[in-house]
Amino acid sequence: MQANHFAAGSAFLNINLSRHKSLRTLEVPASCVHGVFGFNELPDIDSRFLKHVLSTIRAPTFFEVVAIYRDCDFRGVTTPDLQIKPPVRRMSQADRAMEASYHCAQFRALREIHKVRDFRLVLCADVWGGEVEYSVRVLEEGVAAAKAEGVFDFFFLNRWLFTARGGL
Amino acid sequence: MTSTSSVDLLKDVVHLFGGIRFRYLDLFNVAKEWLWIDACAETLETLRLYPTSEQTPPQKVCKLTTLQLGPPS
Repeated sequence: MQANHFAAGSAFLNINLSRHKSLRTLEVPASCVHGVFGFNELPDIDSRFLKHVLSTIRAPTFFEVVAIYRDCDFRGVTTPDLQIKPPVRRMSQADRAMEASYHCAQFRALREIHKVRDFRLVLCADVWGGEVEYSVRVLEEGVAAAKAEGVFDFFFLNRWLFTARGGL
Repeated sequence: MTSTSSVDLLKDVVHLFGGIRFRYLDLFNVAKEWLWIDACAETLETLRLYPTSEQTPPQKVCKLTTLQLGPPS
């Protein structure tokens, strides 16, 4: 399922943050960058939301974009019923490498977005407790691959945040 | 703020309290979200945005974000 961000008047285009002089942080779902949602790669479409919002920011205090990864942003994580523990995951090394590669591609898209406005990037894995280790490892591998490509020369990966649902 | 569709409610709140001064807004599936954003132009420090309502909704068990009242002006 791919969200159509531009249907019915493109409501987000009404968002203008030019008057917000105290704005420091923008938090967005990682799925709004590069189409992680459903693993459909439509970077030209999916990056426009964030590009538009960033282009309107005038606050001198602004410095941070938090990309929030949910369970559904990871191929190897099955969104569980909220009342039960996450299911057992069976991912091969090759599948995990493919997933890390996908996230690396997403970081490349973020680099393009970064050209609109300077910001520090914060990666936030907001997943089930049992999935934190996996999701963080995949993101770390994606970051390592992106660093090897020089993607992170363009902006500073500020910090990581982990929020665990359902207990560790 | 989740699944709020009434613009009139916002106008009533703004009128009742003489403005709104949130420092943190998390706007999921909120109709006319730009009204909320504009209303907090003086105080907003952190904004969580969703491109469409088709994004994964916030989980209640997560308690990641709440609306926080800013200091009185």
